[in-house]
Amino acid sequence: MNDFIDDDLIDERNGEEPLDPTLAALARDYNAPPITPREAIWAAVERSRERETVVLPLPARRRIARWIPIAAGIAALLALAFAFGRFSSPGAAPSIADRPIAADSVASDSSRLPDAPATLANDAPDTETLESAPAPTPRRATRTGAPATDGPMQLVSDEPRDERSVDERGNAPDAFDIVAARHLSRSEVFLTLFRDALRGDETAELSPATARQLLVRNRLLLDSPAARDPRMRRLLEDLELVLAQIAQLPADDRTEDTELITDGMEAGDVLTRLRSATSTGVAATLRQGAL
Amino acid sequence: MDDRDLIARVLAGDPTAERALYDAHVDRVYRMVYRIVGDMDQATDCVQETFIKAFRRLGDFRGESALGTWIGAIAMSVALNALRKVKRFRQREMSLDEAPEIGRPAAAGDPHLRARLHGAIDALPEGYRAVFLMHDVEGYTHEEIGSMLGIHSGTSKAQLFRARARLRQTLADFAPEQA
Repeated sequence: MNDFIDDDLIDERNGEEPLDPTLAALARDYNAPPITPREAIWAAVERSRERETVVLPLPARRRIARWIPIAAGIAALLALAFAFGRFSSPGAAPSIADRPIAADSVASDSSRLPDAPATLANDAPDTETLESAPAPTPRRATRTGAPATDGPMQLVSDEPRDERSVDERGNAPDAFDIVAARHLSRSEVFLTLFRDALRGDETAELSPATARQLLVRNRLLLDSPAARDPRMRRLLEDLELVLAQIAQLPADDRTEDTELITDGMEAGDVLTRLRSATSTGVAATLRQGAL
Repeated sequence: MDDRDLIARVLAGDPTAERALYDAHVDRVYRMVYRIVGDMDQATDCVQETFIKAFRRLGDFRGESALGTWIGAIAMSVALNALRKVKRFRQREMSLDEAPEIGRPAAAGDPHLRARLHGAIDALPEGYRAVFLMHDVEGYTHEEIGSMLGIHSGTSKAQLFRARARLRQTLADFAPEQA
């Protein structure tokens, strides 16, 4: 059969030609509809329409349900970002000030120093720790006990926390202050051992490499916010000069150079200032003007 | 009350108007749907769904056709969709090449012409069958059929022609004088 029959041709031929009356009558019996169940259909339509007007449409409920976990996720993310910002910002005073001191590493390093001066090279400061900003230790560490030559030094945290240092500076000691305190402590130990070695004629045991490493950290601190206080800056600058001289000590016949270094240390009172700084803590030292 | 007023009242939330609209069209819709689906429960469900959709979409009615034609289009869509689902199980419909075998009588002079005709109508393709039932049985015009099925009136005429030709061919062996 041709599927592309022209409509005019259909009308012209037999498109309007009805079926035989017998067939047409029989066709009317095909799926002959019964009486319309009007009330049953209407009742069902009404029930459905009432549900539509009372119940929130399903798509709307789905939209709301879909947004609940998204909103919860956004809220959790914001809370995490807020917490991270508070704990990572330099001005996070209260939370950092409440944390316990972390001076164990300084104490352990210092305790080994008198045993073998030659091991100073192994106790060299790690310059990476400055760049990675270690955890702040706002509690001031106080050195107690015998001098360095008589026994191991200990940095203990037996003083109550000085809340005023936080208030007066407007914020707590940040990571740079902590690194600076550790650096000053190590420098003090190193210079003490250096001076004692000179007195005991043990210059051969001194390691210029340790001085160079301390010098690197000292220069980094000079360029950091730790040197924002003028007194701290002056101390670091004086220390830099001493460390530079030690780092450049010749391998032989260095008596004259060592005398110059010793004179410079005494003239600038570097060692005393270092001890003062490390014994009372950087923040308190700054506040009291000991530097 | 014309269709426009009735629609306005229904949209305003008048329950009497809703029932009036329903009463005005339900019989025609039910007859047409029943012709297509051939089952009372299924026809009832289809008509119910038709009026639910009609009331829901009444605000979109633009008056480009008669309200009855618009409701009929919804009804035909619902009925044909329902029929497609049912046909997967019934497997009543046959291809055009197989259809003549239905009308061919097992023996000459088969008295069951009605059954043969109904079988032949069942065997018509969906489009042919719908147009044949709506035009030759229910009396709709080609324009109305075109509007309700979403086709041109010419297409409706062509499908009616093919449906009639098919029925004549199917019943030729049974009643040569009628073919």
